[in-house]
Amino acid sequence: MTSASRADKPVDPARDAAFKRELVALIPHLRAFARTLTGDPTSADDLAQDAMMKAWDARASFEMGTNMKAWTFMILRNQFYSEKRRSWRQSQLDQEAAERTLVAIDDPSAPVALDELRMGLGMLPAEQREALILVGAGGFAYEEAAEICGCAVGTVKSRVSRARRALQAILERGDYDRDGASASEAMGSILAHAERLSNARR
Amino acid sequence: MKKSPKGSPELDEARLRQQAIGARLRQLFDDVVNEPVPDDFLEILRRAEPESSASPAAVGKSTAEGDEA
Repeated sequence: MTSASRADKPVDPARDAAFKRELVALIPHLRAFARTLTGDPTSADDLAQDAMMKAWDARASFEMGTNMKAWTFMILRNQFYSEKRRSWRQSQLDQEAAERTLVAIDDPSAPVALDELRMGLGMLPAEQREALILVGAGGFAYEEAAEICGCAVGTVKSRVSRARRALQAILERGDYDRDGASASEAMGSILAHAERLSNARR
Repeated sequence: MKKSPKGSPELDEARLRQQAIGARLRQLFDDVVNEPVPDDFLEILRRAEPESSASPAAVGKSTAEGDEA
């Protein structure tokens, strides 16, 4: 999705305008990706703005007519990792988790509470979280998600599958981090449980 | 997804939970998509824009692409 620098190219106002229109239309999606990735609205908007401006600055290297949504999501995703903003989410979680009480699930088709889902997302390994968001909410095909994440299609499928099992286990067991200390231990147990579920379904 | 060979209630239940989680995940995402975009996004973009594409009528006045004030 990248190409050689075209910095020498003359200014093309019509192309810039078309690029901008498409970029502006993508802002809500960039915000949603950033929000679900980081879990923190303020930091997410900073991330989305950074990604938007990086996309704008790199507009000469974008091939008009190709998938700008995937291209901008890839920029945002790379920005997220390069700035190691994963820690944003954790501090947010610790605070929220301290006040949380857990409710057992009696009805499997009962709606999932949004705040619990946010918590659960935050407990997933980042690469599973991003894969699940892209495929499960962002509307990307596995192939597109693989391109955005820079990995093989099979890897994305596996991450999405693991993420789904882990999220289910987290929500069912109410095992999200409550004291900030046992998170990794709980996560190991959840992932093991998810693996068993996953294997049982084959 | 196929029904499991043994028709295990546990797996059916898991499938229902997955559907519920999937629906909520999309809602979590779409809720943000449907929020109004904060003004500063468009403001930052407008400031970064060369005059030439900001107002096509003023093309002749613009200098180099990407110049910022």
